[in-house]
Amino acid sequence: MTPAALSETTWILVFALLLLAPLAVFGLALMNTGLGRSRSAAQSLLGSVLLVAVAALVFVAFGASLAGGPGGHLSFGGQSWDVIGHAPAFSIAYGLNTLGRAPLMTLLQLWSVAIMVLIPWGSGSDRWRTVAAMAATVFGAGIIFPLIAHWTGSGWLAQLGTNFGLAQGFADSSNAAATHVLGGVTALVVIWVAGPRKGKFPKQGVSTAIPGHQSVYVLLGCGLALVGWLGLNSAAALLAPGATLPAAVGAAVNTVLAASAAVLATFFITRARFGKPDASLCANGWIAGLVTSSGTAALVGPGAAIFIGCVAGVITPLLVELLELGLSIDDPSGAIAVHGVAGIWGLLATGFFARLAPTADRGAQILAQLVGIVVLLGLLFPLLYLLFLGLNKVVRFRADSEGERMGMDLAELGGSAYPEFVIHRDEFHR
Amino acid sequence: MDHAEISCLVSRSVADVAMVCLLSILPLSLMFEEWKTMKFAGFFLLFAGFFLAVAALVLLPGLGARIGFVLCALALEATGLTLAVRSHMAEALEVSR
Repeated sequence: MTPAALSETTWILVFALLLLAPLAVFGLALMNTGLGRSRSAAQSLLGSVLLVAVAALVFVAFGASLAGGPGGHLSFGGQSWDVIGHAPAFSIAYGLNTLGRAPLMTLLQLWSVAIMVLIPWGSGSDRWRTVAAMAATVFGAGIIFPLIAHWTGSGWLAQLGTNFGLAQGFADSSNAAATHVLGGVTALVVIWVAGPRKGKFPKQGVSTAIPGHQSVYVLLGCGLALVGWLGLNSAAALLAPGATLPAAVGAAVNTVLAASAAVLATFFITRARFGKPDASLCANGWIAGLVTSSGTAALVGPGAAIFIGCVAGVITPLLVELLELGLSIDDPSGAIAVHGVAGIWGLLATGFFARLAPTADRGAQILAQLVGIVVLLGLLFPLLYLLFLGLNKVVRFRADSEGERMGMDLAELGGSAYPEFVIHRDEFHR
Repeated sequence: MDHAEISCLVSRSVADVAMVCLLSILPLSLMFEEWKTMKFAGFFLLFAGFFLAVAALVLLPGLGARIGFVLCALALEATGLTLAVRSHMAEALEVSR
């Protein structure tokens, strides 16, 4: 099977699997809502829908053409390089009615970009204005996601194997770099630009606990996310060059194993640390396992998937605690640990555990993964920070003090998500 | 160009990048508060790590040397990130009060 041609059966199967992916998107939206405060619940969920809408329109209009697939080649230094932006805007959207790989890749990337834009939205919960998040989404979905998706999918990072002799090149099973690592980095930048919630870090004493308002939403979101992730990872496995139908089963099994190992590890870690397991941290552990599977599902064996998920499940709750208590980073959804760090761990682990051709060098594969991670971190942090710092001057990120005190529902929508509930005095504002 | 010359060239490039970063921080320190300067210094180090990794990939022929330089780039980025996080901690206390 060549990258461009798919059998009719495979095409239909991949398309059907991709129709499950929105469950991952709205599972994350539910989790973000549940992990925020009750007075911002409606704004959080409506914001999620709006961000997905903006991301879809911008990505199909510009981003998909930028991300593209193999096709535009440039010879430089005796090597052939896949170049970005070789297709004109809207060209991918017009080419959707073919039975090839390109329209399915566009759909896969469409759901990936929808997940990516929701990751920082959860971290900016209770203070990030919807309009500012929509403006940030235009840049994220239109330029930054396509750039990273191109580099890691068919661009120079993916070509580290052919052009620099580094085994398979940067290996990323299902857009983990462009979706989760980018989402995690964006989350940290949004937190830095918008600042922490009022009263989160008082002048004296430890940080104030502001718990999520709905554990049921959070855990239901986990279940929905699993179904979506199964669709995304299996579809990505089938779209890989040279893939056969059983590849989808392997990817699906690895996805479940990674998430299961991660949630069990988090369960026991939180139980050991706090005496009782923590529901929201266990949910975070589950998602961290799924995130690692995005980088690894189609590339490693089941034993490796369990180990990788288990490590993610151990580091996630510890890191969530460290970020809040040790580093004063107010991340209500834990996105930096769950998506950013677990995503990087998944990509690094691919170097150590990916099934390689007998002639390929393990050290070279590890180097390829390291180069990808260093490039992503070194470039994305400064660029995103400067971009969002400038954007913040044009469209203010943070709600005003009174709006934040009342809650984003009243401040932005004029009504509460739970009008029949009594709102407590805000004990967080001292 | 032999291996020793290439290594020397890369080392000099790294030193140049570090010098540019340090010199760039000086005018920034006059423009911003202390914590903001620290954050920008951290971002310079992150950028330097990016360029170091790319330079190692292009200029060095051996796998061992490349891994060494890319690990150095990772360490440089970790330092940059630490600086940025420390500046954020100072800022968070001001904003959250």
